[in-house]
Amino acid sequence: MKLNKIADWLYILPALAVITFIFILPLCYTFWISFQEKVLGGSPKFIGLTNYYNILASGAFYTIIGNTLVYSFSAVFFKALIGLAIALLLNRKFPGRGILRAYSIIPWATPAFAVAFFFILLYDLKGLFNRILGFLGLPALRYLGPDLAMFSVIFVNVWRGWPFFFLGFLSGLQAIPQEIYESAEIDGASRFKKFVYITLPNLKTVFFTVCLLSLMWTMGDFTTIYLLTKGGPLDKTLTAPIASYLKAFATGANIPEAAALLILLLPIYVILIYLVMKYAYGRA
Amino acid sequence: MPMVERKRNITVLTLVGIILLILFVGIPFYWVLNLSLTPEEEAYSPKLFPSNPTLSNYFDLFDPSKAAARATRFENFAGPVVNSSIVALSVTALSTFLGSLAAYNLARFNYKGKTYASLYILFAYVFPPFFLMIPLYILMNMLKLGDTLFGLMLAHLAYTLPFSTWILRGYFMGVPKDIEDSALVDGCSRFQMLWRIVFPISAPGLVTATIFSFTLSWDDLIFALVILSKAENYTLPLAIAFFMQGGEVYAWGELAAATILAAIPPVSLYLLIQKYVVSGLTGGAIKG
Amino acid sequence: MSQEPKKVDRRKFIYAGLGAVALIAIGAAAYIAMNPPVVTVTKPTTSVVTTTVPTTSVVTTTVPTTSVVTTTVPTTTSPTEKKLTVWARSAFVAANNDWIKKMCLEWAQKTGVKVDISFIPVGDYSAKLIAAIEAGTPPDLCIHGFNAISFAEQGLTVPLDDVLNELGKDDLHPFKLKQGTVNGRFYCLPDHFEIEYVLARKDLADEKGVKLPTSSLEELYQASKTLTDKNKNIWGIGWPLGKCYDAEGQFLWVWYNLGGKPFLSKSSAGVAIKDDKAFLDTVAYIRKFWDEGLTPPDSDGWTDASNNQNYIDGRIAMALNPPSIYYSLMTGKPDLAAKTVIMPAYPSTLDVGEESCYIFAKSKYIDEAKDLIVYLFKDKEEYRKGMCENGNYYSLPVFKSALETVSQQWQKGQAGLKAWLVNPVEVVASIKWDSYRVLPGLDECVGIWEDVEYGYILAEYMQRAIIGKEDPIKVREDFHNRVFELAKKRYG
Repeated sequence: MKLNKIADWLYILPALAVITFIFILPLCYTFWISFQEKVLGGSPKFIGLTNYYNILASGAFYTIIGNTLVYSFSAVFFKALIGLAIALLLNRKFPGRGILRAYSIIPWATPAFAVAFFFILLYDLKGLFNRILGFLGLPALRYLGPDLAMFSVIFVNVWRGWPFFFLGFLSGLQAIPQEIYESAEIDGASRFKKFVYITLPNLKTVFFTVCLLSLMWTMGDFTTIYLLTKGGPLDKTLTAPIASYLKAFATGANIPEAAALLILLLPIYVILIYLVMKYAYGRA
Repeated sequence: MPMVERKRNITVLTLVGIILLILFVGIPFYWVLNLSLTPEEEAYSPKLFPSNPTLSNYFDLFDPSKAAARATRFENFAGPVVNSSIVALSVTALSTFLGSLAAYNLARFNYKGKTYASLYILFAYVFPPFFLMIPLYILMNMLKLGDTLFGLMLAHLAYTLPFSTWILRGYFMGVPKDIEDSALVDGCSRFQMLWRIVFPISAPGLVTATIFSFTLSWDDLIFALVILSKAENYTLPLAIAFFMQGGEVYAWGELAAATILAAIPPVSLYLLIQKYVVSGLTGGAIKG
Repeated sequence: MSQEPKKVDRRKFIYAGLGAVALIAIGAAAYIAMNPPVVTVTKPTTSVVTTTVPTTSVVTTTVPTTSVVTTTVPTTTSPTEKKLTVWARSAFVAANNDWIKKMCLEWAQKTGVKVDISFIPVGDYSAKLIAAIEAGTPPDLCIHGFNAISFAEQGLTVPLDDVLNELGKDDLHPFKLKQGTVNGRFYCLPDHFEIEYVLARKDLADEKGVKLPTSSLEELYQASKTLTDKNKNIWGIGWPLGKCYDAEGQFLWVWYNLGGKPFLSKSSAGVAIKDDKAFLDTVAYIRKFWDEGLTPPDSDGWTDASNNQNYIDGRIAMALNPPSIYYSLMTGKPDLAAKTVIMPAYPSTLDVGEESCYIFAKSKYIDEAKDLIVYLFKDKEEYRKGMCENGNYYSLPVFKSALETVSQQWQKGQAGLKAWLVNPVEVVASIKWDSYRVLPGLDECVGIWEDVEYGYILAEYMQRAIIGKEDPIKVREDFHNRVFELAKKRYG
């Protein structure tokens, strides 16, 4: 009997071990080094909270948080909007629907780095978007310039990510039994009323699950912004992942301070992680 | 009368929507395709339609002599492709294998501490990977795995393993218990049953988890950036990024071609499993 | 019932152990990987590298492509076998890279010491090198590398006085000698002169009646204005303002020419930026180009390649750059090359060729590394041809004897030097500063200035002042404080 129990654990032990060594312990290590300072080629020195102080004293920290939140929430909002619209669109049966559904998945299936390059080519001064503006007689725009950079990167994230919402909403819509709609119609409900009182409430679960997951992923998105603007002209698109990378490996080359930055950013993510876990574990 | 209205399924609105959808998704692809077919000399100032369409960009990617003029181009596109493939395939194999063991455990077994194990894995699934970039970089260097594909593979494992586990857990939980129980009664060992009954039924789930792991690894830029140094070791995202950013002149035709080629594997894989995507990622919370 | 569980238990136990085995396998693999079996470009048996000295065409080498995985070969280098790990910064001109590779392999063949050489792109070199040092795994030797003075100041590299003597201390151009000296000792050998020129479209200049060369900053501005032709989509000059070395270099060129002095002495107290009027003048000067649209509107996002690319595409009439573009033009667009003239960036141009060879103190093969460096430069003619002439003199040699040869070539209009309006060797003679180490007013090199530039710190503040339109006095003060912090850490 005892063997039974131990054997049970053996199935999951390797996975737990890998996660512990490659995930949890490194996180703890980050915490540990955030209290140190290191000169190139020298040994680390303990300096207490200095790194934290430096980060909080610099205005950049709040810019980072602001940018991250703006980026994530805007992107998720638009992704959800477009996803819902297309899900409603493709919920009816018509010839070619299957093809369109497959077609819709493609942006999401395309690797993030490929999408970023696509848009670098599109946003360029001589790229397609400016060409179209030129046709219409409008002046070219600097999409990756200081004024438009945030919108541009959000757009790229949305362009790539909406199919996830689309698929979620679609399956959610298809799970709603027809009878509810039919009986509502018999009662004389308008299309709008049907949408608001039947469709939306039934999508609540899907909505929250998908939104929370996507929010989590978008807040951790590195590739898109890094390739497009590297944190943006004048820090306009500097989000948490980019800032951490730059501080650790680029401009500052100050790994302990970057570690402190990560720890300081942790609370925002932890709240979200908690919500997601509660939701996902409860439902699954 | 409401019934008849229902049947008319393609309204004007729908048609407009479909057209917008096609344009929205298609235009960026069109543009990049256009660039990739434009001869390199014209590629920096491209036209709307390729005037002299040529496949030379695609072939030049594999030609080392073309790299000579561009200081940061990879010698041969096959190099990064091979590197990415090696990493992605090994990550996939390991995380699917270990993940399925763990997932089965979470789905079926009952033991003390199971909830904690589940939450542990869920935490790792949800946690954003970029937090790990610093410690993994240090860890890999400590293990003398810095600038190796093996080190990169371990880094990828950090987040593909919880991913796979969680996806597969959802699938295994969807396998009716009765089949298993009757098999057990008939004298199968747990493992035999896993092998002969559960796996075949959850084959779609396994395939999904495999493909997700593969594409997660294929797409990764941040860990490749942090762990790899020498150009020979670069994986695809990194190789293309440096190709684009460095050097004396741009090579947009080749860049476009490289990007399209890089996108083909994940896209084709996803199209295979499109039915299972959502239910997989949400761990079965939403049926696909 | 009591029978079944027993069978199930044992089997389950055994099979489930597979999972544990997997874990052990990972650990074992990691342990094996502890002997990093990096085998890349080593034994030159197959690689008879025949690099032909090209005139206009691109060099092709027959070195086997090294772009495949290096981790699966389980061979380990035997203890008696020596191996040098070399990190070369990928030059902008492929011919340079090929020459470096060829010479290293030749040396490897002659001495029997293995050479593992990697070429790392510009934008990444600094960061990767620092990361490697942090990780405790720096290369043995850097060729054409960055941050040399900075490393020397931190005691990470070894003095190369003996190498210098072997190569002939008197033959090394005094400016290059200065560029490699820290605290009186020679720590790195700069391997080329890279002079900032103005490349200009002679045809457009003649059309609009612009006199070339422009001999002052004001004239350059006026010329840019005249040459800007919005109807033809041509901008007068390409002024990079993105986070790139070109942008920083150009800013410094203006700043030094206007009399700027970032440091009064090599110490934190010597940081003199916040009182430096020339800084404000520089910002005002460059802003004119940006605000009046004399440079393409996307130049605030330019990388080091953008200047060149825009010139090649005919979008800009002038570009301030070392003549690496010219090499591309010669090979790709000869008709445009024919319309191009290369003139010194008056009033006083900069050397931006501080890339050097240096050896890390932690290396186990310092003597071998020194030997390799000597081998690279010993034959000055070979060096001049392979590193400089091959690339159409984008690089100029650092040795006086070789420079003399170049001078004669220019006088005879040879080696593609026809487009140079002024003898390049004369320009070299007039060099007073470089952008990274030899600063106005100081006799010694300042290592942290390298860090400020390689880390794009200067670019950050420059962008704030010019594109972000922040108050230049505030930006100047912030910049001063930032440099002050760095100087304090390094010099006290």
